[in-house]
Amino acid sequence: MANYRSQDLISSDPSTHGAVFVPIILGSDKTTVSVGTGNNEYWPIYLSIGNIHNNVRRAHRNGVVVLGFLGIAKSMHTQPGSSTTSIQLI
Amino acid sequence: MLPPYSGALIISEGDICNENGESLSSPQPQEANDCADWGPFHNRLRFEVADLLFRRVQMSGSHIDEILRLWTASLLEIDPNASGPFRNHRDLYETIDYSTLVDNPWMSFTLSYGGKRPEMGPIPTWMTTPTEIWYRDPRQLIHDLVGNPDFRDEIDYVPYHEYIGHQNNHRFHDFFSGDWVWKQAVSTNTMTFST
Repeated sequence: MANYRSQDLISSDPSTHGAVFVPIILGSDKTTVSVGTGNNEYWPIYLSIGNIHNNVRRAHRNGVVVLGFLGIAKSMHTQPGSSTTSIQLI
Repeated sequence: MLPPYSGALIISEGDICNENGESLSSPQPQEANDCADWGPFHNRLRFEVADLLFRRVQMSGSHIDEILRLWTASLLEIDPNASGPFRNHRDLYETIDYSTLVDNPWMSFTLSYGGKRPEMGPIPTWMTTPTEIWYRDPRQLIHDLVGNPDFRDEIDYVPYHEYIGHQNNHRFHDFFSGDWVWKQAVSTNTMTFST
């Protein structure tokens, strides 16, 4: 895929001519979410798109949505360097 | 904070084109729904009642039953066959659940580590414990973001560059004013205009 710009991919397929480029923005943070009894904790994964303006994304206007939750094994919290090991797992 | 600028503001904007470089008209943002489609709520009244009682007031189930009973009682004076917006709190809950189910349901799968384990010492628990992943259909989420009428005046469909002042400084603000998007989505056929 190196050096393949999106418009080259779009233009090579007649069915996507006139398509709008929608860059996907994914993110997470250190917030963890407990569910139910608190035995399970999750990292949220957020999703947004590059097309909407920055002020929309910063305000609480559903410009950033929750795509998913990554489960965190209990043991990961207590071990030093836990975030590194879990990132490798993912 | 954007710098104050003087002189010409030149906006160079990518053009949506077909394979021959001929201009196509820009897509129009989805018009705000005329509120005819209330999904499983059927009408605006039922949606607003559910929104008020469940989300805003967080009313208990027994209180929801009571207000619905009073609601129906008040209607029976006019029409003996009339009923309130929901039969009871169960009916209200099921309607809300159904709306999120058809919307974009949560799905899950379990992930397990399958790589090498240390030959010496204790095995970290995360290598042996399956991990839960919960997610929603990303394509549907993106579709909803692109089509959200709330963003109609605050969304870009084509990349653009802005140059301001005597030095023609490149002014960056939203994502589509940047170089990366320009490189990704603009071919050689561009148009330039001044304001």
